[in-house]
Amino acid sequence: MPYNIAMACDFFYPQPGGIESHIYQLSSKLISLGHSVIIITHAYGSRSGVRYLTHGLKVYYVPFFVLYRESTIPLLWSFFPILRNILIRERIQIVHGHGSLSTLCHEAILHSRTMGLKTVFTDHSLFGFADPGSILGNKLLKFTLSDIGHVICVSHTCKENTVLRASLDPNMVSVIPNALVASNFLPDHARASSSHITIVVISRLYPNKGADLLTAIIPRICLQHPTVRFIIAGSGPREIDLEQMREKYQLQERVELLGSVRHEDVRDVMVNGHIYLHPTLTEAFGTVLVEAASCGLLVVTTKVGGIPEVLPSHMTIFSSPSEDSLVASTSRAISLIESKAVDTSKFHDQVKNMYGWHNVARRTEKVYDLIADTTNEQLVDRLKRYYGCGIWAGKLFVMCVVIDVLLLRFLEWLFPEADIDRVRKWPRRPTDYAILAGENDEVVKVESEDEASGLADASWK
Amino acid sequence: MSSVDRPHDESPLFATPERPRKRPWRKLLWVHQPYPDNYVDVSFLSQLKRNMHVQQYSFWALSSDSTVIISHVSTVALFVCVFVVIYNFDWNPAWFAFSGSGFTLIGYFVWDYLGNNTTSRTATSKSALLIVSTLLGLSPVLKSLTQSTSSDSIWAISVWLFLLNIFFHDYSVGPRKTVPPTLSTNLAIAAAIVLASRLSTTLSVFSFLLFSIELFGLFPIFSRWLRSYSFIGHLILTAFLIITTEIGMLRIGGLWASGIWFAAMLSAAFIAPGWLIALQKYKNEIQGPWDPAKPVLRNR
Repeated sequence: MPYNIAMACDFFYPQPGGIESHIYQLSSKLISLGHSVIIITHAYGSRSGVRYLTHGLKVYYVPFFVLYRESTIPLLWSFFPILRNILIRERIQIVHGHGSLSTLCHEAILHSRTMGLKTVFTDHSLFGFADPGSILGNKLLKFTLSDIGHVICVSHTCKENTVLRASLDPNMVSVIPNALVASNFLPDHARASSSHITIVVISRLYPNKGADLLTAIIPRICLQHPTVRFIIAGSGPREIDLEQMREKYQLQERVELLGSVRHEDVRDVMVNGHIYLHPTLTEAFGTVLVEAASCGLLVVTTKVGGIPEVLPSHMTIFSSPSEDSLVASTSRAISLIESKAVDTSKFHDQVKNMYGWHNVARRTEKVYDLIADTTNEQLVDRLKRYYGCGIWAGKLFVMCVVIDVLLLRFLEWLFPEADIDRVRKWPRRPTDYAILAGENDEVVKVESEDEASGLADASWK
Repeated sequence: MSSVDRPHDESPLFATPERPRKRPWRKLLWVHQPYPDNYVDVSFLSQLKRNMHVQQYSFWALSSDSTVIISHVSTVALFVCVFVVIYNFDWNPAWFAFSGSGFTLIGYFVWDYLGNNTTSRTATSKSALLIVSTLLGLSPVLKSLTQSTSSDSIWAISVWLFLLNIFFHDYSVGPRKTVPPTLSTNLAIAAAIVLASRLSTTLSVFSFLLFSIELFGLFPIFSRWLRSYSFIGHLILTAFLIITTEIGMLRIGGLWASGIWFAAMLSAAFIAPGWLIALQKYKNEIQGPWDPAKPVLRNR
């Protein structure tokens, strides 16, 4: 059964990033499965109003002040009138929010629950429990997720984290990983140099992305392996440290700093290399690792967050987040490449079978099927859920929800539902159906790792 | 069947292809496993660790550490008592300046004799002379500093400054490695200056400020050194401070004030540590693979 779905998130095109492309790819695949999808985000500069993307993917850029988190409490209800209008106009059944740092997503979920719609939330990142920012953020997440239909996390580690942060029943949290458009990350082994080994690093240069470790290990690796070169793409506050390191050890010839590159150029940078190095300290999923493997690079990464779940062991060399361990792991990768002990040419086809957006859309569709049939509970039961969020927070949350319900009554009186125009669905021509049918042919092989891991399936029967 | 040995697998919410015997679930994303996406394995949260870095406290260690706080709070209380007896009971401030300087000299010679001095005596006496003469020159200015402000505002601001001083004071034990945090000293001196500006003569302002510099600028250095040199000496000094403060409290507020103050000190030394230990059972620190890793860098 096709659904009318609204994706709600603060982060969307023109801003680049992982969540942004996730929402776009998932939406277009859901459209190809026959659903109707709109995206609700805030206005980016002059980009305000309704815009259309491929296949009739409609984006609402809502004029909305982007303030600090403290200032959003008074704005909590100001978004409701326009959101209600959009949701009724588009006959939305399911509201799907993305990203726990997006206040627009939290507000959209709260208001659509008040309106009795079904809600899904996707969490893309990991948070701690001890620092004040996380404590506040986790409380807000608990508020939003008290009355959510289903939660999607991008990795199993992310699921454990979210279940703890928002005190959820683990059965209502699904793990659906990110994916990549494999055809955009084709390997090109002719581009990589045959005389020396190139190590590629694509990362924002922040302390939590392991930029300090990177600065520390480059001179040691260059000293040990005279044939190794580095290409580093990305910018951030630690860029200056890398430049200083390059000057101090006179590595200008061997360490190339590209600055930040656009996502569509990532592949062209990657194919110049043999090894992809990822010294991060925290990561929920690590799409860039999948992209690197798809480009035929051997991946050297720290074993943190959800990273151990992402790629099979023959594509990755894991390291602990220490300088010595990273140098040892990178040296091992270099000797593997030099002795041609690892065949990276098959990586692309293997990765293509592991991660595809079509598979993500199918699995998300199952989540929608699951929540679509549930009946909405009484307001009192809903309030009970919010009340259980904490001694003080519970009462505050109940107040917010009660005001939200009263505001809905007021809006129903001021702008009756009958007066709101309903939009026409995006027309689909027969050729569109043919194209869509072609996209849907992708078949996923269950337990596809068997030949790679050497565990024959027969032994389990 | 798998549902027998896997209690969590009883109700698959999503349609899954039934196989004769499922291989165990693994925490991997790159393999498409015949389990629903919301499957909860028995290994769920198995990497969760609780209270890994929690320190076990012992009562007597906490109690002896609390003497550091008692010593500083007593210093502040003593200073307030000194101000009250000068302001309300017309005691001569010069008396406090003299006795304070006497104690400072004794403390300096003890410190010097035990071989901790790194600066020459001439240099120390030169800087002491410079500070005293600067203070003497500034006293008339400081006396008229808050003439247009009402006394009530002065009491309020000095209370806040003293509270902040107690809050920001460096209570850490052991030899000081870095530059001392001057914030708490500055707060105390600022409080002393606003209080001094209430006094009537230039000489009393000078005497009072000299006493305050000795008490808040020099005494913490001495008491910190004494603590690392001899704990018994520190205890004797703390006892001396408590007794002096008690006498001061008795003089300005009578039996009630000194009784309440004594009870507060007693509870800081014995009841508060016990309470802290009793509260430890509510400690719930959560650590797991989602925490940002601590990078291990070689020191160069």
